[in-house]
Amino acid sequence: MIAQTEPPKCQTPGDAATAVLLYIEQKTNAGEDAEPTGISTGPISGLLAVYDGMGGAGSAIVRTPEGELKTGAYCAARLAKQTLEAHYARYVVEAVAPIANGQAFAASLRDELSRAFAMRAEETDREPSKIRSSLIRRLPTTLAAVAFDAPPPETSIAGEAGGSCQFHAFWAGDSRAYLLDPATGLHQLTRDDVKSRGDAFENLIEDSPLSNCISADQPFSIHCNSGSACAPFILLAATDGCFGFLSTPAHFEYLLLDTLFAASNLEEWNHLLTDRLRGVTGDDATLALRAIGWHGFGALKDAFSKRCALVYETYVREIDEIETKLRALHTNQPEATTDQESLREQRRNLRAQSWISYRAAYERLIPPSLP
Amino acid sequence: MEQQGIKYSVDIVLCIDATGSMSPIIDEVKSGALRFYEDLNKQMEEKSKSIDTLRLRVIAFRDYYVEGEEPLRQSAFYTLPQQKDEFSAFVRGIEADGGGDEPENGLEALALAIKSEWAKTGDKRRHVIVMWTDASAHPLEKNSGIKPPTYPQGLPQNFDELTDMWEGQSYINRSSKRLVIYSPDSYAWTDIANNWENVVHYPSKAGKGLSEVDYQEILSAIANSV
Repeated sequence: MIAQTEPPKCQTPGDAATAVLLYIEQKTNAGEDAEPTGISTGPISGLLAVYDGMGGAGSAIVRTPEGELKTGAYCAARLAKQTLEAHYARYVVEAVAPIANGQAFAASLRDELSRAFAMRAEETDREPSKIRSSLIRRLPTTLAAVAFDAPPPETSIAGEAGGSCQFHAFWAGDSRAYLLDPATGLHQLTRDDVKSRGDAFENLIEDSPLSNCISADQPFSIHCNSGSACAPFILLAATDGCFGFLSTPAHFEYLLLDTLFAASNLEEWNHLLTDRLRGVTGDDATLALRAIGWHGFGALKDAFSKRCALVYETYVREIDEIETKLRALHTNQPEATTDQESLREQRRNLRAQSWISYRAAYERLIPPSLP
Repeated sequence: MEQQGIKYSVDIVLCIDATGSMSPIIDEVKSGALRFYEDLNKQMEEKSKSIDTLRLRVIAFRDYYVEGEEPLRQSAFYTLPQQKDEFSAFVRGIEADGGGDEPENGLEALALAIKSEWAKTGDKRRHVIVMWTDASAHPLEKNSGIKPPTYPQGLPQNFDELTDMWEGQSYINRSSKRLVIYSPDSYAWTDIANNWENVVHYPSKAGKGLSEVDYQEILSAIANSV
């Protein structure tokens, strides 16, 4: 059960703190994503975050404070992580209070990031390039985070606050935060900052430049989307290496659930997810996930078993069967044929249909687009 | 679930100034054109971006307002690697000659490039135009109404119309498009660099003096999602 305004009536949650932090580098020791953040401050409180250093916009080499030569993208992602974690520690952990106002947290985080990035740009010793382009930025990175906690006492329903969880998603760029509910499925909590303003399916195809990201040389925004939900559920943050190379948005949900279903414990889930994503992604991939409110891994699996079967049958199976046929045809006959083109056409149509039927629930918690 | 990654379809149009003033650097530009797609391909492979279809076409331009020469030569799209030899032969056949003094017809070449028959299939598409010139460009409205007989039909009448072609959706996909310009700071290249979306400008005569570091930075901006 999920809602965006009123705290919902909830069951008392389980106490299993179930977390997955996944980090895949395309090139060993040169991953431009920073390692994900997973901070737990209680059974239903903490912070998840990911940071995707933008290798295209920030490929220029800069010297790190440790004297290493790395890309601007690499440094930016790590600086964003360091800044967010420090800000969260001051704002929440040291104050021992949940985030009461997500917008205020986002505004103060943006100020902290601006300061930190301007300072780092001053410190780096890069020769100015002759290249002019809005596609190239100094220290560019995305950020997607979701902070979660029990709602403040004044907004709780007496005696029912135990399983209710308030969340705040924060982001700049096209990394995402999601809520995965056993009954209603995967819900995107962030809205991609892309120039095309495309939806999640269009963004799989279009690869649009970003309209907003953290950097040292351009103003940027940290957006916020706040809401509440009843545990048990799963919260996650992921860079586009996790969801941007799959056939449809539903395939990402299925990837999460299929690997969950195949695993016998948390560690195995992490390995299966990593293996599966490594096989499909064309980018660094980072994911931070927290299952909130379950009494153990078995209960988590049980809760999602129906949903897993439904997602496969309704949104995934037919597309995957065509892809299997296409791959077999391509192996036997690398040159394009009429059969291949016909299958590709079928696949295009099925992908579009899958998105049409999946979209309404998936977008239920997405904030409205900015004017 | 099947492990099928998303594949890229990449189209590249190379616009090369083939006027006489380019003689000292035309060989460098031609080898730059021949290596551009290989380097881009390599960059994408390094990032595990899988290319399904790669096509290139070439537009060599001079000056329609100077008589007695072939003012513009363009190829169809070559599919690589199958048609690599044909592509290489076209590029090698470009000679720097004629064109008179600057300006040249770079904007006409750019308009023709934007109007290319871009691929409409592929999971993700990247449409790239690369311009090499050592000169400023004739305004598109020059000699309006009395264009030379060989002047192409259906080109924009002025710079605003050309801008609309780039920024609109009729000719080239907004998300897929990228434009790299190696040109001096002169009309209309500086305006394009400052005002158009998804442009990378290296201000010099047709890329002269381009360092390997800057070249790699340009390739990264084109090859990666940004």
